[in-house]
Amino acid sequence: MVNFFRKRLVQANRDGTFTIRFPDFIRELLVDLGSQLDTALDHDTNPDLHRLFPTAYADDAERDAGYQVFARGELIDSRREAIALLAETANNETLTDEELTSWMHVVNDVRLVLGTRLDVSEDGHDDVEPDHPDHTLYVLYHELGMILSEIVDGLMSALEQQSDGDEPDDDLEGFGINLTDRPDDSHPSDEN
Amino acid sequence: MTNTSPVELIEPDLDTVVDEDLPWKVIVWNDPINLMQYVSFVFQKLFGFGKAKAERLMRDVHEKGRAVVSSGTRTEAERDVRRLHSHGLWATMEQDE
Repeated sequence: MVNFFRKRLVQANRDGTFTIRFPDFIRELLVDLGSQLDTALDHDTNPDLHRLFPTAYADDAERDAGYQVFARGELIDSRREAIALLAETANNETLTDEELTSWMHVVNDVRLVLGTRLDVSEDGHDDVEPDHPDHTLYVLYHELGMILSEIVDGLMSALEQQSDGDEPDDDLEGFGINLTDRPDDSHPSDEN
Repeated sequence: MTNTSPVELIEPDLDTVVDEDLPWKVIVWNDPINLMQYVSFVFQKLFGFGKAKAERLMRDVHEKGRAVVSSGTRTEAERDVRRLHSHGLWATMEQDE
């Protein structure tokens, strides 16, 4: 397999956008998987999808049924919106935070479905021999993990840039107050 | 876990009525699929936690099997659970005892 994860594939820009360097075949793959997920959501009782609709009240079936009534529709709608936004922006070199977040949702949702289907375990020993009937799905599962990781790295660095950015702003503001508090310390002749 | 409160006998159906006022807590459970880095990011994004706190909670989920990430009224807890579910995290809510 080609190792295309050599440099940062999702880069947070200073203006809040993201530069996306995924190759075309990855973009096409994500659109295709999104479309498959969209179709699968028509049958949301499919056991492979159960991780997309977790239980809220573990010990109270009645309350959980109430939760599912309003939450399930919302969870399906928000997933479909993410899939649609991914499909619209799949070929863009630059994405907004909202668009990249949609990509993240689709990749993670598909990963959840695949992981459920493959019944993966946490120990990471999920590699199977190439002749295993699910080999392709395992490879896909791991690829999606790497793609997700790139996306989250990008979103996380933007989140950190935001919180880093707050501090210098505060400092500048404080500096400004000092200056205006002591206007006479400067040279009055400089003012027109 | 220890329980230091005195033992009380409460009628079973009284229980559910009186308890409405007690806070609910939102618990995230460990699962074999979600990436640790992703879980930590979701905590930062949804709850505004700093990186250190988000990572500590993520480690609790990973190592202890669960972590309480928020608490509040039933409505607030349900909202947080729903936001976590929309991110594919395995979250439940339960009332403080």
